[in-house]
Amino acid sequence: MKKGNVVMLVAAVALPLSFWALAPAGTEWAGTDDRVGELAQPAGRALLEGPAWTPATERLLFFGQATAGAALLAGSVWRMKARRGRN
Amino acid sequence: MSRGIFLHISEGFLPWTHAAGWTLISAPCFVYSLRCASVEMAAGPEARLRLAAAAGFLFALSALKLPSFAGSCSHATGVALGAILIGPAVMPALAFVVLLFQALILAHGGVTSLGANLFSLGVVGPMVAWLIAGSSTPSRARAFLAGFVGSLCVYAATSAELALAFPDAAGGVSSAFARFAGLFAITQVPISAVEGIVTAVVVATVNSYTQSPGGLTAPREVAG
Repeated sequence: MKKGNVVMLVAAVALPLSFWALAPAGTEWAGTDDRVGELAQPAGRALLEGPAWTPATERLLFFGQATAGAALLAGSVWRMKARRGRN
Repeated sequence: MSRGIFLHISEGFLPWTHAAGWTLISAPCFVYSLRCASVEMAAGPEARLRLAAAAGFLFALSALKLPSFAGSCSHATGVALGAILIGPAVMPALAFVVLLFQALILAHGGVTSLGANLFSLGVVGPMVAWLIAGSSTPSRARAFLAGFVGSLCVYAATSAELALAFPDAAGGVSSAFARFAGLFAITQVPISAVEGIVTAVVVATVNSYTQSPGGLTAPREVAG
């Protein structure tokens, strides 16, 4: 990997971490959600309500989705690298 | 658990006329996208790997919740990578899978709002990112801008959808749009900046391992 990409990759990982480090105490998991919800209330009829998870389970599911996506991305890039190496 | 909007408009929030309207608008985009995705799948192993990378990126970033300095959390979108590497035409199909998964499993978004969410995440964001990138091998600055602006445009589209459904009593749709967009901007501008950086890194990495540029040819192949 090129040096410039390594620097950007470090920045890309460090930036989100800094967000968590610098976030105000008591940052809400669904803060934006609640604020927008003050302007927009349900105006239609729900066809299918999703499961009502506990906050901890919800966070775990979000983390699981992000991890699965990252694994698929990493696996694809790894296969591309292997194919390039063979050719 | 809080049931709300985030990036995706929640189940039951849109009036049924709006939900039906956005579904009608998004449906042809989705059908065309399925065709483009099948062409990409048949184009060879390298094209399939690009498609898988785009799907993984979208799946990962659309669940990556980050706190903002304003004291609330939101998540990135991940729309730019696929739009740059393959073209915007395949993105509605990928976005549909993500939105359906999140609506059914995570209770995030909804079935009635799927059309509106698909239009913002699968159509508007990728199209803007693709137009900004200009090629499947953009410079880092262009890839960053594509990720940054593409992500912001997803939220701008969501704000417009909400503003149309919930116009301000005094200021109408434009005033409502300004209020929704203002709320999203607090959290989304810094998160979109991170998304732009991550997009630039992944685009450069993927392009350094692929032998033939993909991307912008996909829609034309299908049309021909």
